[in-house]
Amino acid sequence: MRILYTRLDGGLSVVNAARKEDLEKVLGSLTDEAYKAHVRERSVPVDAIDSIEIDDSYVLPEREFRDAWKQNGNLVEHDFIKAKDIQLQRVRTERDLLLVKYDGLQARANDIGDLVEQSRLQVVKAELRSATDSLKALTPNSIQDIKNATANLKVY
Amino acid sequence: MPSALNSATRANQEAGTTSDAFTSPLRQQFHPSSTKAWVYYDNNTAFSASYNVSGNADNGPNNHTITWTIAFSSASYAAIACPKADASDTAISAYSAQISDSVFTTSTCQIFTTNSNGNTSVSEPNQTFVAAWGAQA
Repeated sequence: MRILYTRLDGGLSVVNAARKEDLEKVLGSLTDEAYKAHVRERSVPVDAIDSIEIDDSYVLPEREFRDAWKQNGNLVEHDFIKAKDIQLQRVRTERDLLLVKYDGLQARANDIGDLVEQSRLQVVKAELRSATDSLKALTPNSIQDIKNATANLKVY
Repeated sequence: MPSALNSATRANQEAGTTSDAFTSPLRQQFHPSSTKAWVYYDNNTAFSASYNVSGNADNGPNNHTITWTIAFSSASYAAIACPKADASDTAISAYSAQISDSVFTTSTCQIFTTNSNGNTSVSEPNQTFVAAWGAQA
């Protein structure tokens, strides 16, 4: 048994109920109705929004953008704007680490007067600073759109 | 020798001082040393196994809320959470778990897991173990 609900903060929670036979070890024999009522009473907050039971066979989206999940009835979908923001934050975090690295290299190039290296590093840092541009400009319609617009920073 | 007639009561078990009564399967769980609840859950699937746990809410990456079937008598109980290493044991020292301070009540316990690898993508332990001890309501 699983229950979806939307929290007051807008996030989505998915309750995975303990198995009925495990609960019966503590509570004694339960009807299906009593089992479901107990799980709801215990695990769904009183301020939960739109709580609804979903089938155990329902396959949830992959978790890469878990914080962008949103409820649509008894389905889980992605909020693509939230997913884009999550991806932007990931790129920025990765980019900031690279900029620190290249700042160090540039300081060294400056110290030894290596003009060729200085010029190369300026280009690299400019590329890194613009790494979020395509993603920022995107109006996503799918997770794949977001992935396609994400700069590959592994090359740096 | 104790007979079946002087089996330990719940109060005997909770006091833990009687030496002339047998404990029974129904009552042994009330001894202070007994684990009152435990669970082994996957990140986004049903329980693998549990005792005295009603549900596990997946609130997002590395954020789960466990609800106890029979609540504790106060919030002065102990709970531990421990993530399992990944299948290849490469994350054996990377994952850790913490019990929430704000959501730690007689009936619920929130668990936060973290990954110290510094990965920028979602990184969660596949499974987490939780157990709790204390006096029950």
